[in-house]
Amino acid sequence: MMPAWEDVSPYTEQRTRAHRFSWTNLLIILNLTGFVITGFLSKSNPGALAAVEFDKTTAIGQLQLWQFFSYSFVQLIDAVYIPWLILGVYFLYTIGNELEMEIGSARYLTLYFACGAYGAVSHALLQYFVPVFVPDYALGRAATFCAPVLGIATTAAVTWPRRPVLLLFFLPMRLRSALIGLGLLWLVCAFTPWLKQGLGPSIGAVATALAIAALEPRLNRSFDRSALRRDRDRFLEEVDVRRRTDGILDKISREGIDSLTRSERKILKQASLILNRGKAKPHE
Amino acid sequence: MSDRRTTVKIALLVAPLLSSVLVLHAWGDPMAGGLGRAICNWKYPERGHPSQFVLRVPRGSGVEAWAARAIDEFVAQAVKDHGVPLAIQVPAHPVTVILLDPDADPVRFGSTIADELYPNEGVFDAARRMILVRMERKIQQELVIAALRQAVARVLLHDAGSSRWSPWLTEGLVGRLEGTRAAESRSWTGELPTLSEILRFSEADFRGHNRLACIRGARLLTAFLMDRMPENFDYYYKEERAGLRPLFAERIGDPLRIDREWREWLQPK
Repeated sequence: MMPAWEDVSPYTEQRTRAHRFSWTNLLIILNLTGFVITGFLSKSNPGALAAVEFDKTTAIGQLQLWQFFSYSFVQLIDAVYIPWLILGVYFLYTIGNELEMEIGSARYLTLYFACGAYGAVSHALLQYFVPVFVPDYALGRAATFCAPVLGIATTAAVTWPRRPVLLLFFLPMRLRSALIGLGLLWLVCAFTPWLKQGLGPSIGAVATALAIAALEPRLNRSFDRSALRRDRDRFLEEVDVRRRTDGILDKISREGIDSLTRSERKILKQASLILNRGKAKPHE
Repeated sequence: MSDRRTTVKIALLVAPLLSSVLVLHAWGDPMAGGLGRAICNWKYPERGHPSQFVLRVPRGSGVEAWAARAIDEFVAQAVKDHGVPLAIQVPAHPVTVILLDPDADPVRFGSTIADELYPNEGVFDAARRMILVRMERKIQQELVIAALRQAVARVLLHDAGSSRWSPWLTEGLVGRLEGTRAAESRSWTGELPTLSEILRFSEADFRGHNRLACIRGARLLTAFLMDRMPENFDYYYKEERAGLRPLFAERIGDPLRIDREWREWLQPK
């Protein structure tokens, strides 16, 4: 039995708060502004639009690195794209906001822009190598916020695979199934001649999100194991020093401090350092 | 989360991005070009051939046998028929002959002069000693052979020194080597350029929008001169070959008079 939305979402209360600031909402506003500006620039100043769209000749050939991030704010002015824009904005508003609360704003923004940037690299690779194999294939443009949104969606689907969502606003589904369905629909739509959208950014963004989802827990485990090993070594060293220090202290009480050899003095000094290591300094 | 952990994670996220951008910046185009050439070499393997013509045809197309035979026969015939009067010889240096698929990009083979190569059309890139002929998807053997003969004729004339000649003379002799019958060209109903215009033609005229009339005019004029005044033409040709840039009026005759006689010759008998 599929659980209700409220049963699963831990942030249902917060979701209904209209006045809460979130970076996701700011990104939504920026993307919608990008849509309006694209509409103006595509007619009045296509040169300015080309400066922010991603193209390997300028972004990589002339190192105009801002294009790795700016391209995702350029939207397509096309009736076929409008439903995708609405879907993306809705997705960011609901699940994007929840993910931001779950993982924190800094990580969320890093994920959003990393997916966009790796999507651009993926598009550049296609621009370099697709003409080698298929010279006549017209590779679509790298534009729209679909790459970062897909990255966020993939991360959300990995984090909450069984979370119920309303696919296309009416069909209840699990988040992972909905994402796979929408991904396939996007694939078909992006390949159609009317949309002419390059698939490189979407592929790159999904691959990046999956790679982060796969590698980050391993990295965390590795750090945890390393910290555990360090604590264990420290504990064993402490035990050893204590054992040896006890004998030296007995000798001091019996024969006085002048009776200590150079090596015994060294052990005492080490013991002092080790035993004070965990204590914070008074002024900190 | 500790600071060290965050630093490592950010480094792991940014390092591949930066390194891939720098690698693509430095080697992206050369890598794509190298891969393209490797694919071309695989798709167009070199076929060993006893003559100086090295054939490269699409793998599995099965055209190499008749293409090689057509080239050999044409060279042998041209040397036999025109070897002495036109100083035509079998090429001393190798020539690469590439028969392209309809989709193949000539730039992949290093040629920059074959940008607009139409189906069943050939071009000789003298700088690279390379003949490029584009085939149709359904290979038209006769048309491909015709394009090959024309391109090989240009090779033979180039080796005889055509780069120093007037362009009209080279074009006219290509027609002669190809074996274009004057009667076929005479039947053309379009307007021909005048003799003075033909003498002023540049290389670009033979590639421009009016190229058909230019080519036909040059070929018909050459055929007329070789037919009606072979000794004068022979003398003129020898001086052209020597790079002396002879005056047409001095070596052959008054252009106005020749133009009149040529027009009469063009009239159907």
